[in-house]
Amino acid sequence: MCRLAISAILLVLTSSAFAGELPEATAGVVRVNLFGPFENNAAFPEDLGETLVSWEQSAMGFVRIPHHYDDSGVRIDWGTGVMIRAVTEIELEPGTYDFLGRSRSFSRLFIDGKVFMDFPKQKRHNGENNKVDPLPELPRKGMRMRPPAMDDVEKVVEFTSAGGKHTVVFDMMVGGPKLRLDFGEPCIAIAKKDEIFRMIGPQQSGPELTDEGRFAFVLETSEVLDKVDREQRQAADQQAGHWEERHEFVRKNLAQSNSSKSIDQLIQTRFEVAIKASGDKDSFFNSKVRPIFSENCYRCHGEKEKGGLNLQNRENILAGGDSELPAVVPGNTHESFLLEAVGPNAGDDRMPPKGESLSEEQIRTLTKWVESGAEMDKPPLTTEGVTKLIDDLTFLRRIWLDLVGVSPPLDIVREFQADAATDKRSRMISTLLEDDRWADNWMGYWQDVLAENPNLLKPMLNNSGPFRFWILEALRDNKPMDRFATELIMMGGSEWGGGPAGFGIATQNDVPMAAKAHIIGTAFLGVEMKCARCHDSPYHETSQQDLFALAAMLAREPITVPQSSSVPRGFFEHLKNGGRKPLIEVTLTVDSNVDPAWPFEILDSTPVSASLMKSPDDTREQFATKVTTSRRFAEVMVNRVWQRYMGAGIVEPVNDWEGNAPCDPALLAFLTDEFVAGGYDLKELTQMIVSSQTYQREAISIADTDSAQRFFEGPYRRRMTAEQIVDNAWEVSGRTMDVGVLSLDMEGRLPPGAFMNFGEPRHAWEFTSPANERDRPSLALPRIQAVVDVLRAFGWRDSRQEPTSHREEEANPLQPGVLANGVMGGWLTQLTDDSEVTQLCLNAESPDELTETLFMRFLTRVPTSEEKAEFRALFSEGFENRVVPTSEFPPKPDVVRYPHVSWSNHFDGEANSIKQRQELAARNGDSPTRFLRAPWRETAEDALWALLNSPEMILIP
Amino acid sequence: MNRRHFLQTSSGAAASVLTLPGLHAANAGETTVALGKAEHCVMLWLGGGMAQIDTFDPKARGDANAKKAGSYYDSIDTAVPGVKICEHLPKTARHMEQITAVRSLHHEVVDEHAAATNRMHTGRPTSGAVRYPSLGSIIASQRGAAAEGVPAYVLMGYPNLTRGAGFLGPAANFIYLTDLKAGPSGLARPDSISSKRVSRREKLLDAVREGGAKRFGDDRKFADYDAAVQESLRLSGPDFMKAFQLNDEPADLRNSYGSEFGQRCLLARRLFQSGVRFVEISYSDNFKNGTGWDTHDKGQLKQHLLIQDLDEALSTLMSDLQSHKLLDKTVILINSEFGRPGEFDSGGGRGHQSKCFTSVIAGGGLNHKGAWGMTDEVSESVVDKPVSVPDYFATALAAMQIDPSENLYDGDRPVPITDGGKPISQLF
Repeated sequence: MCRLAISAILLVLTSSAFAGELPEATAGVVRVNLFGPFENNAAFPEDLGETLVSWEQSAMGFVRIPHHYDDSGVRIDWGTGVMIRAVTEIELEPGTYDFLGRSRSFSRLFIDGKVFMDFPKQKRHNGENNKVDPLPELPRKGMRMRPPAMDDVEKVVEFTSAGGKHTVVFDMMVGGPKLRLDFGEPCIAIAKKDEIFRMIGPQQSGPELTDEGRFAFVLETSEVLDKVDREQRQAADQQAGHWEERHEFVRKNLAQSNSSKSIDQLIQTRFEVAIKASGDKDSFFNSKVRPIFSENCYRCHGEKEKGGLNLQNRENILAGGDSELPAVVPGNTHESFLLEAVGPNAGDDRMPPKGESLSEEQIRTLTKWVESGAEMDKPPLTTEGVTKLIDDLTFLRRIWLDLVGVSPPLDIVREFQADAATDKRSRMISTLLEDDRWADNWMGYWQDVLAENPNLLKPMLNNSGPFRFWILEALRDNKPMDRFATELIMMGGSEWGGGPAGFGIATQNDVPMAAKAHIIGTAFLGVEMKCARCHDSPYHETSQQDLFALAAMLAREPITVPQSSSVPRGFFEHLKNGGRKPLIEVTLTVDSNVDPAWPFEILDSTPVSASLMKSPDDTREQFATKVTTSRRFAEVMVNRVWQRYMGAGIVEPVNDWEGNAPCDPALLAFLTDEFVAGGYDLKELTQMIVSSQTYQREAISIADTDSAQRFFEGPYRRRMTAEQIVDNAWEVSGRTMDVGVLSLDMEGRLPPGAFMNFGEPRHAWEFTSPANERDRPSLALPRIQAVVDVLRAFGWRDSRQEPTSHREEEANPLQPGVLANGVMGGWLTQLTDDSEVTQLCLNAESPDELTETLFMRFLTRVPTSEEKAEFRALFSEGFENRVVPTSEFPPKPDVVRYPHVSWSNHFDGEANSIKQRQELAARNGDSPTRFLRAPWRETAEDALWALLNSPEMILIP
Repeated sequence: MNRRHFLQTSSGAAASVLTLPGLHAANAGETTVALGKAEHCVMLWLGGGMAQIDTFDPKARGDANAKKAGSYYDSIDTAVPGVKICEHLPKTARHMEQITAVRSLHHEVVDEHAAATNRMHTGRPTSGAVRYPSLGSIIASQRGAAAEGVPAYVLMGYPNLTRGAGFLGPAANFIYLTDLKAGPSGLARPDSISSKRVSRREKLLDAVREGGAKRFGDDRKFADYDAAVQESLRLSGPDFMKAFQLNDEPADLRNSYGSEFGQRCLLARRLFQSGVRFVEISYSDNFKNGTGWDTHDKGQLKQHLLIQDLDEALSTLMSDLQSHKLLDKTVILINSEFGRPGEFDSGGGRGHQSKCFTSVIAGGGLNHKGAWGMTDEVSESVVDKPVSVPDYFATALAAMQIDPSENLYDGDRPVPITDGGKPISQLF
């Protein structure tokens, strides 16, 4: 093994000179060019072709490759492999230096046009049974040097400079057949003897080859690359004109020319009307009978009129439903079918058909109601009117959490408080809408709604490609939402590299397009077709035929219904013997062929002319167009956004509109018109909602489930999402998320699709299930697991096999428990050298000031006098003496290093024990700061713990 | 049709036919399955695939070098006449009257550990529309915990989807630990925080909670979470956490439980005493033979170390439960995702086999048989009394007093608890 080759002799190579003219180099800037695609990853191409992308970065290290976009700005694959060429110029004092190179790919380094170092193609380990290799010995000791990434070959070669400028060129082949475009941590660094290596960059002051140095470099370079991607995307996108035309079309055809003026006026008007129309809340019907009907009957015998019976309508009740048996004959309990159906002798036909039967008490109430004439009353009004407008601090915390997913930092809070201008709230809203975190904050929502479900390895049921990256970019670019839906439905771009084609995948599902039609139905049309996969829906009008016809449109061909998409044989057996008719029906037989067809006549809109479509005959595009040019689509989008900010939809549930009328049709119509007129602009819609007084009122404890009572007197109280809780906890604790690489194939050996690499997560939405179904310690990802534990406890789904628009967010003891006792909570309540809160503690002038600062930072409020007293007492002890003088700083402790574990060596016993040690290390957390004396530091950490565990840390105020 | 007639026909018919289970209350006189009387259940998970031919379904010796199919070890007699098991399970052999090795189990998922693991946790194939719950979550949802304020379902192993609650939601989910010393994730306090600091923290938190309550008044979400904070503090406190103090047990007993796996079994007994309903214990000492129970190639060479671990842990657990009068109340299951063939692979180990494998049921007050079902001379096909995965799950659930023909609800959708499984009635 020759990982480390210190040699003063220049390597002898077949071709040691740079072919052609040396690229132009600029001092202090690393210019990187991307070429390709190339099939062969073990030879340098003779003809590089055109430069694909070119960018500048601060040092000669590599983080990732910029992405490739089609003419919609949608991610596509680069092809098999690419070449990176990085060029810079360095100026050296005369003397002898060590050059260090690291690469696991076929690559070479030129200095002044001569090959100075080269690296072979990666040796690929097969299978899982390889040994864990010890870490290579490092060329510098005692300097906390970061070891090479797995499989990165390291070379150190001496270089003598006569002084002056040198051109440095580094070529690297990335990817190859059946490989992801991964590359470990390649870099070129330089150092004098016995100095720490620094990556080549401006004035020899590039990042140190330590963990901290690389971490900072990765953060900085990721930003550079994000910017490069954005520019590439925008330059590639040729679709703006098309969408202008489309928006012209819908503006003409969908608007309902509403004359309403604002959200607040509409809310007010509805109140006034409702007050006039309300019934008496104490009437017998409203206080006793209506609750029984609401809870047990209206679901089917309300607006849906199952069996023709509507228990909201007295005329209908007296006439009876399809059976033509009067449900109620006033005063006559014997002839009232209703009483029989809910009574103890109803037998097989009792109502409600499932769950507990009505209690004796409830039946007595209904009997009494019939006896006394079955009078009904209009629904009562339970509202007490709009709530108060919120103060600035509450507004600030709410708007930050809602628009960027974290609470406002101290300097913003102080500036805002000092600002006397009347438009400061609207300025704040505009600023936040331009923040990139806007997109991050929407991610979890769309991942859930669209069932984005990639797995780390070997896809299981309903895994999709990682189209999260397309979602992110679409949100960052604020693509119109009709365009967003269209791109998704068209499933173009990269499958495994983050494009919408990843949405088209549902592994191990025998009719993936039926799964996708279900998702599109709930996400964009408010049509719930979950049941229709196997049988006609008992609670919906949609049939199995409808779902399969849509699936066929997506598939662009007829679909055969498989056995698995039906009800098991035997389910209906009992019917032969005269058993109760089941709630479900199967009208589509197994093996029948279903042709592409659009089944939703009621959602039909003005047909789009062929000129507004790219391929008018493409059934998938027809599907996308039908969806996005329907008024229903715009309504559903508006309702989703409204629900997110107001805590309840105008229609609930947002994914299932059938039989659920809007509580405020005028408001829905107004918002929809505005949204359509504005070109489906998500930010504009958001701005309109959060600028309203309605949004800026005090929150109401719970939303009434009865839509007639949902008045939006203010927003309904919301809990923060799991992602917000996690991201905000890191933010207020002043730490940058650093949990390692989310992948089980660290060495980039295995094909995309089978194994994924999600890089280093910085936001909660970036996680996936750690996927240790195999239950092997060697496959554990301890630092990633620590964050996933918190996310899961708060309702984030580690698998999104099907879409959801309503997460389970009920409080349970594991939620506060995992924050209080879990590994991530442990990290965030440690004061480390690099923590921003450590800085606050160092800079604090008094215990009082520190208390106020921390409360403002964590909770965006001033402490109560009791809190102040408690925290002041705590901080006061040892406050004057808390700072350790510089002269007493101990050296930074050495970093414990572990050999690399990946899929290829995870069967080695050593791999288990390494991961077990890493788990322990994760639990023990990071080294405490050297700047604060231990006893005082511990008290401050306890204060942090208490703040982090406050119930206010999970609520939107 | 007149109303009277309509009601009479249908209710009259109901008495004589099978109704859709669970769609409404069972009719009197309907035949139901016999139920057991167990209160707790532990599933010992031997991930990778226990080789039944080298453990509970021994055959004539084979020869790995000569590629002659057969057992890798000799077999021994057990307390049940005619029932033999592997020579490395001598202590277990003495308990065989309280054990049934179900030798005729089968399914069809072979090459994918994750998919087969899912099958043996949920008891059914995956389907596109429903996320099925694990056995532990089903039992947690149907029976709850056996005592107030204790989690129903504890997992000692890695958290993953397969072990989760599926559509039953967070209330039926597990709490988990991967390291006995660290305790359950999210409940055990970190060792590094002294008790002095714990009380200081809680005092500060009290102040902050009161401050929050002032701001949020009677807001229900605040109040619910605040109550959860209180409950979590209690669970992290000594009442429940003392169950995790294995040092409180006599040293002799701890030693006889053996390895880390055995210590997990000891913890399970303590958890049952505190009211936990279901425990899954994953065998984690994979490094002993390099592959764990997935004994391909050289993993075969030291497989006996794992079997000896199992023997110590299982036999001690059974006698320990017995001495606490808990054996008849505790169903012990030994499960793998699949088994292994009698033939050897080219590296001298064994591949995967799902068409015929063994799971073990012990304790739980069942009418045990030593063994159930029969396989051919190299344990590669079932020749008598086949048991499907749903049947096996139905047996475990029935032993836990849960009617396997009942329905669970995924929202509106009734989902039978098992996929049409029928318990092995002879065990009841």
